[in-house]
Amino acid sequence: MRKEDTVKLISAEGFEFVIDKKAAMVSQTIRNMLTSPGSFAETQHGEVTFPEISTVILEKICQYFYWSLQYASGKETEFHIEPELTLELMMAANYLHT
Amino acid sequence: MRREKKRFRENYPNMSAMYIRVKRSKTTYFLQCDPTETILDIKQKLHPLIDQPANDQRLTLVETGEVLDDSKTLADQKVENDAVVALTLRKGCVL
Amino acid sequence: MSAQKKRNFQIEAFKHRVVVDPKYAEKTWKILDHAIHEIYNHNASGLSFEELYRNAYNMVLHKFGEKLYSGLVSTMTSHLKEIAESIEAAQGDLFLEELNRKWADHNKALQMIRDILMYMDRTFIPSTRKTPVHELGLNLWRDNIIHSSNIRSRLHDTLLELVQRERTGEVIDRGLMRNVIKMLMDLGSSVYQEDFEKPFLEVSADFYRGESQQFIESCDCGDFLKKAERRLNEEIERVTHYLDAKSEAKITNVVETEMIKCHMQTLVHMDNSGLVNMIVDDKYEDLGRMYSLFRRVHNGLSIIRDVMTSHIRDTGKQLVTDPERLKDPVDFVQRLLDEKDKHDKIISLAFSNDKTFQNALNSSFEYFINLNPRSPEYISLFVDDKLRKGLKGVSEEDVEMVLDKVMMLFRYLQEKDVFEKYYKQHLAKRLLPGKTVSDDVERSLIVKLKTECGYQFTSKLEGMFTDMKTSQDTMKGFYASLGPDVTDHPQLTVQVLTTGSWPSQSSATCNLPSEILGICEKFRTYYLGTHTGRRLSWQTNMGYADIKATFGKGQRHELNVSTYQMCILMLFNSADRLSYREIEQATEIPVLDLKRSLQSLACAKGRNVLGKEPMTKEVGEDDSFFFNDKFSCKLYKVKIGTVVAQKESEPEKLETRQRVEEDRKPQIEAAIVRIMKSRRVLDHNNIVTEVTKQLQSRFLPNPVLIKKRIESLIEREFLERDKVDRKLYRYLA
Repeated sequence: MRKEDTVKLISAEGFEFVIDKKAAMVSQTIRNMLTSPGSFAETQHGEVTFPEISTVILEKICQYFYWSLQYASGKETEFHIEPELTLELMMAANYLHT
Repeated sequence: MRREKKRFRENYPNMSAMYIRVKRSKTTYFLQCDPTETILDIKQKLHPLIDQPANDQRLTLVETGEVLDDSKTLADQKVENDAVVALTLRKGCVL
Repeated sequence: MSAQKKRNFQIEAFKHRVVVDPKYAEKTWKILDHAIHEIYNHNASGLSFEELYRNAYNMVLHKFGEKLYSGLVSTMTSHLKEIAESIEAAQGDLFLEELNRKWADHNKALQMIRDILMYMDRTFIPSTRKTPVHELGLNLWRDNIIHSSNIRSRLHDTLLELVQRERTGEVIDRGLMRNVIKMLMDLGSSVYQEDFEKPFLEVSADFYRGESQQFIESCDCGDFLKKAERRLNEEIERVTHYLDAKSEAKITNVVETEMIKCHMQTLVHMDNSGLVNMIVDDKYEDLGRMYSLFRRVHNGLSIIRDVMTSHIRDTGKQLVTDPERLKDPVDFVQRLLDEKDKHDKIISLAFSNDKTFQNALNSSFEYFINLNPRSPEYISLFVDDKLRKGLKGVSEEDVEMVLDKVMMLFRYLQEKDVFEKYYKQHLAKRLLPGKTVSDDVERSLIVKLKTECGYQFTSKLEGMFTDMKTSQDTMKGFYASLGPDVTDHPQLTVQVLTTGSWPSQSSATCNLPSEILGICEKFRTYYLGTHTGRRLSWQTNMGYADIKATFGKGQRHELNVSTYQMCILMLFNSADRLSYREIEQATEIPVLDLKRSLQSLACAKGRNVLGKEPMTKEVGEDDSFFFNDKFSCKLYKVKIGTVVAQKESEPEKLETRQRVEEDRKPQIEAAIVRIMKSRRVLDHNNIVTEVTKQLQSRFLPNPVLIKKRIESLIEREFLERDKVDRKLYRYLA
């Protein structure tokens, strides 16, 4: 796997998630970030810091990205969300336009 | 027909079939993989991301605490979709 | 998160932090405002997308969307005003380059700004019905740059000038043109149209009006068309290089109107180089160019077609009425075929096989071929010539091709029945002496005629072939019945012709020489013995003979002659000198045939087995003839005075005509009866129309003739006139 094909997402607490760009682009916000014609700091370093998203939520978001790719390719499974995370997760989803 | 299908699967692993989460300290690597891939395959995928050759990597299935064997496949060792695998590096290795 | 999993949730966007700072909005906008400046200044690399996005997101979330939006408008506007100044400052050619560069910058900046303000685009703008960021950026560019008073007219002049320079052969920066034109298109089709396309079309019309006026005064037709074609292609090419594809139809229409439509008539009729000259000189390329250019213009093709038609009619009319041409029927028809070939080739090579042109060609031929009443006879003579000798050594396919061409001429004939009459005569003269080249070819032609005109048309012609075949069998039977003493007699071959199938002939039999009377009688006995209830009469005018003769120096020759000629020559076995009257009396050959036969025996150079006194070319009734002792010829076999079909003499022509008219009567009557039987009651004019329609595949019946036939049918009580309306006829069953 080539490093250029991945992007590093960093949570409020500084935890890092290295995921495929393809998966990250499930988020319209991250997609714009990575494809915008100007060279923003994120594009240059291949990492995005989310100071307002907690580690738990960010990991869940990443899992969701991968689940979403699987779902799109025809694998129909449930995406499990712990009830206590729901609200925060939805908020992050709105932010990331996912 | 079925055999054909199987062979096709072997020759062309379906990379969006599953993913695993490889964790080491504060970093998690999401890896797309296929159940027919071996642990060695996974380690080779990790190589460019962590800058450590496969030899120096050790993978443990967190759920069972089992150390994963290079020559065995993910399916062989019951590593399933979304599984968490811990990564440690061989002693003496400078990070 | 995607809809599939959250159907049941109604999400209220979560407010990240409760904002208490009263200067929150101002501070946040400052950050974004600064970022927009940095973006325009190519300094974005230090900016964090996430941070900017988050700030814009939070502003919208905290109900500061309006502030964000108006801030964006004013910041972008002030940047564009700066940009306008820098574009205005660019000198000369740099103006367009600067405009293009700034446009590229603006586009990129706009994209980045839209990306960081995405949340505003998603939520605030739709709910307040404001213009989305991207469109806003284009509108601001349009208003502040393109429509700024110092740029608008300069841009439009620059673009048109570049086009003009390209038209005069200069190389311009097409990439730059394409970018700038594309910009106008991006700003909306109305911007492209108003700020470029409309003035472009006006200027182009002026340009081409002037240029074509100049060309029409200095160029010939072919050159003019070449230039027009080049201009047209240049404009089409221009569109593909840097204009909106939709402009193609508009600009080509300008060129078509100014260069073609306005000058069509002048071009077609141009002295020494117009359409007629092109046709005469077979200028396929020029003609093709004219066709493809004129077809773009309303009525263009009909102008070409009309001129072509009248040209073909004129030349055709000259051809068929020129007395010089009428002397040689074969040449006459060959010229018609050549003319047809010529125009076929033009239509196929230059007029893309246009159906309407083919129809025009056909109707022109139909028109002029029928101007000459002898056309049917000549066409049959042409076939006769080909089937006698012209096709020897020619492949089957070529034969078929010639025949097909002849059939094409035949199709143009109105009086097909006249053709049939002549064809029958000529066929008889081929079949009887075995002069036809190939039975297959003969039959193939019959099949063609049959497909064209139906069974009725050819049944008698086919009867002639049947007679020939039957006669062979009859002769075998005859000689078998004679037994071994055949050699004593002259060899006799008889063809038994069914009355009616063959051309009607004067039945006058001439006196046959006693030498062959015997065998003739034997045949008559044999034939009547095997076929009861038949009558035989000798058609001495149609036969031929091979006779052996010995001349002065003991030279022996076999002479191939007609039966009449044989009868004449045999007289000289018992006399050296005979007067015309004596010969006439002895043979009883009809005058015209006798003169012809004597002429070919005595006057044809190298074939004159008889001598004549006086030695004139014509045969007079007071001439006398003698055996030409001194006759010599290198060949053993000498063919004399063949009965080649020649074009008819005037009296023969009249006779044939009469026979044709006579034959038409029953056909017209049959048609009238057929029509009346189904219609019962019909007025005069309608009968004439219907009859004409029914018979036109064979001939065009004369209305006077139809009237006479109707009268005759009334007399014979097939029809009656209506008691009240005298123009109405009733059918009497």
